[in-house]
Amino acid sequence: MSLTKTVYNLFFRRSANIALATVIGVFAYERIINKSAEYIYERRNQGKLWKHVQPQFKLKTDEDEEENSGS
Amino acid sequence: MTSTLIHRTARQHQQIFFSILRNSSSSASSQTASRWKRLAYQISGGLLTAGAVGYAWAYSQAVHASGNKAHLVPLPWSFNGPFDSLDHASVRRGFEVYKQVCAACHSMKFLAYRHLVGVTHTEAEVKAIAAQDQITDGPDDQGNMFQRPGKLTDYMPSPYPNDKAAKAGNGGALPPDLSLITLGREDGCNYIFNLLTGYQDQPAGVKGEPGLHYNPYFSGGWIAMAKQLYDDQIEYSDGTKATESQLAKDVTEFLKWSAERDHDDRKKLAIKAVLIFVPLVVLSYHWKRVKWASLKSRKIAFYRPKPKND
Repeated sequence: MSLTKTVYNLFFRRSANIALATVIGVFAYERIINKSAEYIYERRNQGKLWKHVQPQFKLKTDEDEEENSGS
Repeated sequence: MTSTLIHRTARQHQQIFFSILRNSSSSASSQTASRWKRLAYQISGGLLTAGAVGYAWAYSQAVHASGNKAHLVPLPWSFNGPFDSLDHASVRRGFEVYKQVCAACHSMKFLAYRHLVGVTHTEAEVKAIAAQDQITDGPDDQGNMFQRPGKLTDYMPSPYPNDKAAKAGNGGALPPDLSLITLGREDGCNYIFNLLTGYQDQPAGVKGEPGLHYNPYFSGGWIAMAKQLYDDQIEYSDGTKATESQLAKDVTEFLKWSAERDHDDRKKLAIKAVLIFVPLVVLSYHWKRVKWASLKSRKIAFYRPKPKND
């Protein structure tokens, strides 16, 4: 009960505090949403995205570069 | 009788409903009667609307122009789900198939080399690929067009300079541009795959068309393009076995990506949209109910005024 009282007095009593809490909350919420969406998307599409596919071609290009550097 | 509607049981509601049905004028108060009448109108109106919509839908099915071609086999594409991305290894192979098989006749004039960077190839790889192609470039000081090796900023070169040359080189039939083909055909990916792998001998009794090839998935059955994909036709750079269906699958995924380059970003955004809006809707609904609570829980009471004795 005193927790809600503290929260109210700290965040919701003055409209300026409400505005500040909203701004910080939006920033934090957006960060959390972006990170969560990326995590969910990459887990669901494991092995299909370019960042997963590219490493198997990087080794090949490194080999080609070593071959070409000799000629 | 006080005209509140709050503390009635379902049984009492039913009794009032039947009494209103029996007497068309209100034996209950006129407010109750009009409320049930309004409910009856709403239910019948909703049923009528649903019926009309269903009727319209059922009759729109008949206009489907599927009478002269085979029904497509729906395939389990890797990007079928609402949050599923394209398989970029497959798109990369599909680009190789396009370059080695399809580019001889089909243009892709809305795709530039730079679009491949970060999707299917690294920048260095794309530069090397572009440099292998000859691009027609603007008039030089003598006014002549000239050929030069490609750069990242160039668009894919067309095999023919214009449509008439393309038709002349293909027996009068124009090979369509493939940049947006999966969007330009109904059920694009399934159609392309079924078409490419669907070449077969015409059924007994079907008269042959000169210069055309039989494909049941093409409207009318006779298509100007001959069968193009065969087993081990090309060698994939990543070593995958190039069977006919593998070639068709890869080139279809490449064409899907070419038509919808924002596909992956769009589906990631769908996840974000759900994550944002579901909690917001729940919170909004809660807030609405909180603010409306005082109105929803009010009681209206009518006290008959005492008659004055004059």
